[in-house]
This record gives sequence, C-alpha cells and structure tokens, in this order.
Amino acid sequence: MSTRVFRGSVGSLDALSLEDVEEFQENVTPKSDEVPAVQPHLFVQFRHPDEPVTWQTTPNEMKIVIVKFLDYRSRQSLRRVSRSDKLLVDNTKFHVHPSSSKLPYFPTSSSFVHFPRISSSGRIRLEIDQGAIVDLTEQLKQTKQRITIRTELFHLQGSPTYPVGILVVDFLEFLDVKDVLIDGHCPLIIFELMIDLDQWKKSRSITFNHFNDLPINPFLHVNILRLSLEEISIEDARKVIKVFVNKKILKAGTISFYIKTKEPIKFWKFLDHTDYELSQKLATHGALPSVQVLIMPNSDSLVFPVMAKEKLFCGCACKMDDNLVENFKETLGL
Amino acid sequence: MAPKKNSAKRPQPSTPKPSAPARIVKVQSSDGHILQADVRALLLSSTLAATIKGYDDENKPLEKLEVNNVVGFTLKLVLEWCEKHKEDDPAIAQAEKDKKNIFIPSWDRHFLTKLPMGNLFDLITAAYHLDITGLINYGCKTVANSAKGKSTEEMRELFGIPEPWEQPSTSTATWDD
Repeated sequence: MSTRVFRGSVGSLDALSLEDVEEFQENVTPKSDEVPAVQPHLFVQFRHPDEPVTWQTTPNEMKIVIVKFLDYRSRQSLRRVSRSDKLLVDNTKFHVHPSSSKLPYFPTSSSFVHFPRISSSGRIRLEIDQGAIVDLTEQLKQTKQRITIRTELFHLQGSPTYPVGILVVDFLEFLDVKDVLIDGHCPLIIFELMIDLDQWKKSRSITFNHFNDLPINPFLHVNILRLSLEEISIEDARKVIKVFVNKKILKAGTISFYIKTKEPIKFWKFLDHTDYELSQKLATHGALPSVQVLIMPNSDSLVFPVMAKEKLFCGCACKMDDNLVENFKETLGL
Repeated sequence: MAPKKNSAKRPQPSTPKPSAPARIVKVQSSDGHILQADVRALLLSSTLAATIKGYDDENKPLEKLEVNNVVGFTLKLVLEWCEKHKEDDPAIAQAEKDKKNIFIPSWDRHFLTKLPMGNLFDLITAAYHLDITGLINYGCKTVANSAKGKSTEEMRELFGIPEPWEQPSTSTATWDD
C-alpha cells in the first residue's frame, strides 16, 4: 500500500474554507482498492508532528478570532504579509461604532460593506492609509449602486516629499466633502484632474499645507483658503483680494485666505496704504506688517482687513468693532 | 499527574457541603503521553464533554481518553488551563465569544504571555480542536495583543511567516504518494 503523507498543513493553504477541509478529508480517505485487509485506524492529522507551528498552520477559524481583536493599523500590517492574510483580513468584519466621538476609528478598506449608518450627532474620524485607498476605490468602482461617502473633511496626510497620487483623485470622486486638506507635493497633472471634480468645485475650504507651484484661479471659489505657494505674482495677489472682498456673507470669520510663499511678496505693490494702528497691533518680533482694511461691498457691516509681510499675506471678514484685531488673529490662527 | 489544588483563594461556602470526590481520568496525547485530569476540568472542552457524556450514558467505565490531535506538551498546557478554570461559569466564556474587547485575568495573562509564539499557536489550535471557548478567547486575544502596533515585517517575524518569495506555491500538489 502506498503511504499518503500530507505535506504542509491544512492551515497553510490559502484562503482555507470548510469546503477545503471537507475536500481534504475526502481525499485522505483510502479508495476502496487501496483499503488493506486489516484497515488501520484512520486519523486525520491536522499537521505533521515535525512541522513547526506558525501563524500559517493555525486554523483559519482561529485566525479570524485573532484578527477580530486587532485594531485597524495592525490589520493593515497583517494584510500586507501575504495574499492569504489579505483575504483573511478583508473577510473579517470590522465595525465602526458611532457612539464615541473622542477616539479615532479605523475601518479597513475592504470591510467597507460593513460600515454602519453613522448618526449625524457624532463626529467620527476615519483614517485610511494610502495603500488601502487603492483597494477601497476599486471596491467602490465595482459596486453597482453608486456610493457617496458624506464627509466634512478629507485630509490627505503626507509629507513634502510624498507626492499626491492619482489614487487621491479617484477616491475623491466618491466623497461628498466640504473641506479638503492636502499635504505633500501635488504634481500639476494631478492638480488639473483634481480641479475638474465636482467635489473640488463644491468644497467650502481648501488647504494645501506644503509648498506647491500651482495657479491661483482654481482656489478662488472657496470661502476658506490656506495655501503654501512657491511664489505669487502681484496680479494673482490682487485677484485674491478682489474676489474675497466681494464675496457675499452674513457672518464674520467665514471668509478668509492665508497664503504663505517661499519667495518674498512685493506687497507694497498691491496694498495702497497701511493702517498704522492695526499694523502695530499685528506686529510680531518688531516687524511691522502692512495692513489695509477693505470694505466688503456685498456683506453688510463687515470689513476685510488684509495683512501682508515678506512671505505671507492673509485676510478675513471681520466686524468693525473693538475686537477686530483679536478676531482677525483668531480666525487666521496668527 | 495529580490535579493542582488551586482552590485556596476561591471563596469557600460558609457551610461546608459534602463535595463529590474529584473524578480523575487518564488523558492520552497523540504522541503517547498519558496525563491525568479532573473530569470537571475536561468538561470545559465541548469535544471531550460529548465523549465523557457518551460513556456516562452507557454506564461504561471511563479510564482513558485519547486526544489524537494534540501533542503531550500542548495537552499538558491545556489541562493546566482547564484545571484552573474548572469552576468557572461556562456562560462567561460564551458571552465573551463575540466581544471585541475582553479582559484577560491576571493568571491567564501570565500563563499565556510566558509562552513562545509557536506554543501559543499550538495551544490555540488545540483549544480549537477541543472546542474550549475560554481558552480560545484568551489565547487569541493574547496573540492579537502581541501583534498590535507591529509593522508588516515585524508581524512576519513574530508569526514565523516566510517572505513571499520563500513561500512554496500552494497551487501545486501538496500530496505525495
């Protein structure tokens, strides 16, 4: 009789299911022509005794229990270990509990189908790493019913050296977003795709934290703008001031811009004169900025002070009262 | 192996009741090791409980239980855990089954965290085959705690998972005549 030796283990097979085990048991059962006269006790050895026990030889049912105890980041680490672990993590439910607003909750990209309905009463922060965005976007694309994720703020976290990729554009398409915050270098080709999106055009605020060389026009529709630019021309600076001053609003503090530049700004060329009293109040480290208070023609009783210095110019809608300087500073985070 | 006397710290009934004498049976591992255990401890395993019940129903004397898929070392750990928990309410383990966060008692934490990862996986696998809910809960939670915050590389090392190019293809035959 030939001896059947099970090489490897049940647990090490990719995406093991109960059907796999049944198939395995079916295969291990001796065929009628192989059954010896004295039939030995059939014993299904789940693993070879000499085989070291590792994660891979652990039953899938147990792996699922372990994954259930893991937090989002650990799950993401595990799903990058191997294809079978990716399938394992993707097929393990991950629940987001909307009851708490204090701690960040992390959905796995692929457990998106198990998202609960999140009540509007709580604020929940969801973090998805860029690798997982690819998978999540793919799933969203493949979903027959169009899905839109309503969110207040989309923050692409990154570093100056980490470029914004096309995946962000793809993912943004599925968001109904009010505020967009982008870190890192944004290549012009990606930027041009991004500004074509409805999500961009409808956004309330846009922030680019790191220095980029981008045209100013696509940013002018927002109410709150924070930009870091390589440089800004006199014409663009004038355009920014003109657009923001002419915006129609009722409430102070809801319109503002804050633009930092790498290259010095020739601010004296677009600010006609300086309010010396305000300039003194807004001075930092002894350097007096140039400050000009502009009337907002479309917003009753509001003014728009614009402050400029070597590498910064900013402004916001304020009430013309005793607290103007404090409100200006607070709104712009000065 | 004589059962441990671990009831010293447990609350004793105010009026001493005539307790039933411990019913000790032999348990044989897959590699032939014979251990001894209190039946109450073995009842934590649904698999063994069914076997014991079968013997009792037929009034057969139960002398030796064969556990064919757990090696001696692991079986010893399983029995040690069961002995410690033989008086636990099984409903507690069942209630914790679907919870995301469970509290691991001090004794269990020390018992499980001292084990190398390989033995821990062995213990979990044994608990799975023997269907011991409480041990599955605590064992899996301990593994998860060890893995928390680890990077992919650290997790690969912790779990003994080879690099993708080192892994044999599972699409080819795994049987050898």
